[in-house]
Amino acid sequence: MEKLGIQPIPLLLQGINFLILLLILKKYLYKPILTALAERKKKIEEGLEYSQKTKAEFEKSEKKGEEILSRARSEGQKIIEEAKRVSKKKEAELIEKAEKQAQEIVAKARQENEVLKEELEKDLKREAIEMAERIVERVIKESLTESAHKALIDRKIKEVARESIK
Amino acid sequence: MTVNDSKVQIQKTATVRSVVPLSLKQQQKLEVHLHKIIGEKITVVYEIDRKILGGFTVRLEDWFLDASLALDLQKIKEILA
Repeated sequence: MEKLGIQPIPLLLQGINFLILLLILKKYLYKPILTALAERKKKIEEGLEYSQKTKAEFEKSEKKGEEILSRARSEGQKIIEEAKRVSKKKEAELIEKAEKQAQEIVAKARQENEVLKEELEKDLKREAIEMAERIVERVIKESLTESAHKALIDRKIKEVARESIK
Repeated sequence: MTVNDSKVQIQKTATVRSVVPLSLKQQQKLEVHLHKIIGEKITVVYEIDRKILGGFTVRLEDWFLDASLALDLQKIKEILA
């Protein structure tokens, strides 16, 4: 060993020094570092756990939200369908009512028209008869001669005679 | 002094209206028939009435005989109305 330049005693002393240094480091440096690392690891694990828990809760909430939204959409659709159905029914009722009213108005108008027509015809007939009466009266007054009047009186006397026999 | 007990009879008067005067022959004929209808003797007076248009009418108190042209015209008017 001496030929190689290695001296046993200093080597032994260096070994002892190294062991002492190792013990000191282990006691005062490695232990706190390991403790700190363990705590950090624990915190990280807790953080991960919390993160996973939060993620699960978020997913749960999201799912729940989607369910609520889906239900709301379904309810909304039902309400819209019902509203459409009611609206169509109401529309049909209104159309039916309007048609009925229109028919009644037309019928009433026809009836009134018929009455008006009858009244007009009556008036025209009455006026025509009155006009004819005036014309006949004038013709009789202006055209009948005395002899014609006497002939008429003769005829009337004969009618009275027939009545007196009865 | 003698008392005359003969009955005094008051005759009713009928009025005949016409547009032209009736001839005597017509008056006689009419009075004969009126006597038959009424059943008693009557006095007849004649009047002119142009409103009856033709023929004649006879009125005796409430009784009335209408043989006028105005009545014929009225009947035609009622038929047409």
